[in-house]
Amino acid sequence: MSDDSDDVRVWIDQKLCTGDGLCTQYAPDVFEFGGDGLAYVKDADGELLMAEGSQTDVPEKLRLDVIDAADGCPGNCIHVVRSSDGVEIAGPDAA
Amino acid sequence: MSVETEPRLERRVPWFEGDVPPEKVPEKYRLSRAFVPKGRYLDPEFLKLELERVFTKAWLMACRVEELPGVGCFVEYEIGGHSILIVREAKDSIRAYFNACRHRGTRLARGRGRVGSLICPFHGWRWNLDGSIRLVLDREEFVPRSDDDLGLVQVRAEQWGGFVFINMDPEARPLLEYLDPIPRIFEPFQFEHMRYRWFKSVLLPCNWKTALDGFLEAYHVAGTHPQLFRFDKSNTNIASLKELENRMWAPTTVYERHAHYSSVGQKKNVVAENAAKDPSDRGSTEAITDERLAVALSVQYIADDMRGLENERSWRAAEALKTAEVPEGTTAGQHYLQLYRELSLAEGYDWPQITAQQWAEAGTAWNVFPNTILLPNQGSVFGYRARPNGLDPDSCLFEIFSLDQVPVADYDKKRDFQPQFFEDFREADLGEIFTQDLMNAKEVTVGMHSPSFDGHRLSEEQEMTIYNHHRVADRFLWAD
Repeated sequence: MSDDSDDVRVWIDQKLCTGDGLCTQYAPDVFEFGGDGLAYVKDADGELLMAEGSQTDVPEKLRLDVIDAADGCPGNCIHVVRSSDGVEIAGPDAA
Repeated sequence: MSVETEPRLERRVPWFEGDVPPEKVPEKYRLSRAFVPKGRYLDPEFLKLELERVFTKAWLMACRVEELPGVGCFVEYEIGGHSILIVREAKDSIRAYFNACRHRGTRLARGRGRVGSLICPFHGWRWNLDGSIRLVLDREEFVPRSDDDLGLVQVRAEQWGGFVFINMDPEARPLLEYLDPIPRIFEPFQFEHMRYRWFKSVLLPCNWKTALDGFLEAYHVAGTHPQLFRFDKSNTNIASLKELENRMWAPTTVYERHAHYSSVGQKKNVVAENAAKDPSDRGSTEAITDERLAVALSVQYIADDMRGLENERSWRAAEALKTAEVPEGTTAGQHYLQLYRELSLAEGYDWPQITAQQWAEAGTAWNVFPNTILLPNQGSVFGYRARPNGLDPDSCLFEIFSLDQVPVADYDKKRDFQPQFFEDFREADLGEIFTQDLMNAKEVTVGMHSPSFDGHRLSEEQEMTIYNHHRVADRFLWAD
């Protein structure tokens, strides 16, 4: 990814995940269920990042879908942060 | 009561194979020639029968496909005491379920929204979007039951013209068969390429059928909308006798389940026997000084006041018509359609050629049995829907929606859409014409309750759409 200040990363607080699956419908290339029924983010190669709180870069074309997923998440546990300074732009800690 | 004129004998009471013989219908609800007893509108008992036997067996227009843009989007459709969820469960699949938990019956979701799974708000049971059970807490404590038994119970959901219809009867015939001949006749109007401009729901103090009846005939136009064919649309004074003499005439046509009326021209006595709906004929009850202006003002009045059936393209075509050179041998109305067509094609809209024969069959407004009305037009259309409000026969939820064709490039584009609800229609900003119509709802209802009134005495030419609804309803109500 470039240094574009609009670039974002996303992570999930698995402790709060309800297993609803809304995120996996909005952006299946970014979110996926693990075997435990909780949602995890994936890296650019589609590998599930099973470490709790792992962050992944969000491709630009999926940015709005990821933000919609964060806004609609019933567990309110998806954090979308700006890559450049880590400020949360969507999710429970967004201004 | 006296009969001054003998009805013409060649008119027959509509009758189709499979209709219910009159003796099977209780006397107080029995139809007779162009007559509908008032109990079919006012009796709570009759409403209960409708809810039990008509709404549970007929195909009902529940929503538009565009309301379910993404996987997990849902719309709740309520009818009578029932709640049904229409869910996009996959990119290419929309399903409907009874909105009830398999555990203790709790309603699972309300209104509209987007979810990843359906989760009961009471004990947290969960279902996948395809209706299969995903989670039962402490399942080992329950009597063993198959996943099938715990899955959400499906309601039939089928699509036509961008609409999703539902049917609670698993044995119902397929939707397209039920809608016949509408899909064939509406084909050139491309309802599937229409999208909402607006959707407004209002509560009306009348029976759900009374709300629809007002839009199932144009016989009321002279009385209710006297301005419609005047140059001066702000003049809503009652029609003069001379204007009545020149009124539009709109005969009805009934089919096995559905029916329509067709505004075919001026003054019944000069309309030819085979007259048909002609979109270039806008009618006018006044002496025409400039035909171009009469056509243009009619189009623009509908566009501005009703905000549907016409659109900003047809408005601009009408504006251009006012000063256009109308070629010899062409009427202003025909030239207007030509301008509208050119404008639409230039701006990326498809313009299917609709033949005179197709226009004639399409007519003006269709009753899609039991509770929907569709008005086909090129480029923009209207739809109306009415539902009983609880168990009160004198109250209903009435909905009006305006759909516009979208440019070819936008067929796959998702759009945001929110319906609006108004308890009082006077606050819904519906314009003069709709307001005039809806003002009648209360007056009809009060008058129908009068002991002096026994039932609707219908025109056998212009109001058989109304009769037909009841005839078809009898097939559901009193079938074995």
